[in-house]
Amino acid sequence: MMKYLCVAIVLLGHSVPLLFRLDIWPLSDYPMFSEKTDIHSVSELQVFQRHGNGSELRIPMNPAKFGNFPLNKALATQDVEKIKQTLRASLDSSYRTQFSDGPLILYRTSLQRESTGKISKNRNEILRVQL
Amino acid sequence: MTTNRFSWIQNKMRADSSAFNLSAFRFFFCFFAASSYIWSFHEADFASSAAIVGPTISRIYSLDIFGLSLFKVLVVGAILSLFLAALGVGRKIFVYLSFACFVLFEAPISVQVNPYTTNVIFFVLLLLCLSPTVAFYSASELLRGPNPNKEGREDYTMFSVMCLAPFVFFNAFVSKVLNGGWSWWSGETFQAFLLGRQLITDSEVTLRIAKSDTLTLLLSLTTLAAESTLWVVIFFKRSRKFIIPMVLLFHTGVWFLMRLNFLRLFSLVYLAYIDYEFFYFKIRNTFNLWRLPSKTSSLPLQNG
Repeated sequence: MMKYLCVAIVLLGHSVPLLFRLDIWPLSDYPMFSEKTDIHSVSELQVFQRHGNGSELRIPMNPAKFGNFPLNKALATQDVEKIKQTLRASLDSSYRTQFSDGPLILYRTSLQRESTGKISKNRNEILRVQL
Repeated sequence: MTTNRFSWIQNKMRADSSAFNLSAFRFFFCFFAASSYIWSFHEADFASSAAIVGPTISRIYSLDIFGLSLFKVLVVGAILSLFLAALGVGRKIFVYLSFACFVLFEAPISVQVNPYTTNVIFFVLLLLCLSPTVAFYSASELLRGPNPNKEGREDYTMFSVMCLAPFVFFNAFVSKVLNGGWSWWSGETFQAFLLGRQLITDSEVTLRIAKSDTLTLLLSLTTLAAESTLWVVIFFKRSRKFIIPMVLLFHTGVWFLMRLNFLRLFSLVYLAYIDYEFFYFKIRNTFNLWRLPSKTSSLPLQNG
């Protein structure tokens, strides 16, 4: 009986969530991009550091610390201290020594596909913080 | 007709039910999963992992146990039990323990952040827990080769593990068609996703590919074709030799273009497609290993 149970677990574990649109771990297994997205515009949160000479340097979020996820969550709370705390924890550690060099600017950057097929970039400042 | 078809499937299921193959898979799967968690443990800041699960679970995770947080105890517990399960120590006890530790530390994080790569590990560990023959060979017994006394019992665990990756792929295909319609192949959704990932990775190559309508169309078609046909590897053993390397190449491409690392944990499932018995005898015969005693004993006969 146990041998059939194994097969049943795999069959049900993968077909039930698909049929009932369940998004609960460990049942959910849809790749994120399967959902139909807004194909004309995509946007993402980006963090830059502004230096004394006016130049801006992109500081990536550490993928080992779940990328933008914690920062998006902190931004939703609108608590500046929490945002600062998350930035200190989530930014790529190799950039930490440069925090004193200038303020961090959080942008919502979007890429848009125009009717001509051309792709244009747009950046909106969300927040400016000094760590 | 139906009986014939069912027996054909059953024969295919039986073909992969060797206890030696399953035990060898258990060894490599548990060993690499444990090594992978050691790597993450070294690389990731588990305090921030614990922080994203919300205040209540975070407080439970922070509980002090002999100077270590509960979260670290669970991760260390999972790593140690995976290593011991790989070796076959205590038969199935450490397979159960690694499953319990994995679920307790992985589930709350996966619910919030990344359910897509870790649910396959959940299913493999669950299947190994349910298997009656998974611990028939310990690591040292595996070195001695297949033992006829331990074979012969029907166990469809290996077959079930083999079904996991094709199911995930096929569901991804169905999900694309259900959510995006048949027009998903046109390349526009794929292009949008590449552009979204480009905003994270800043990769020039990703941007160039995303800007090309022809390339995104071709990649969309390749994705749909690969996802809808991977089930072939379950039933046709010969196809595994070239399809599995292609799938690994597909995952490498996804990492290169989108920085989505499905290789780290998800690719461990592909270890199930290796014919360990075949490789065992191949290695033994090629290098003349484990043959010394029989050769020595045959010497007097040759001289005589």
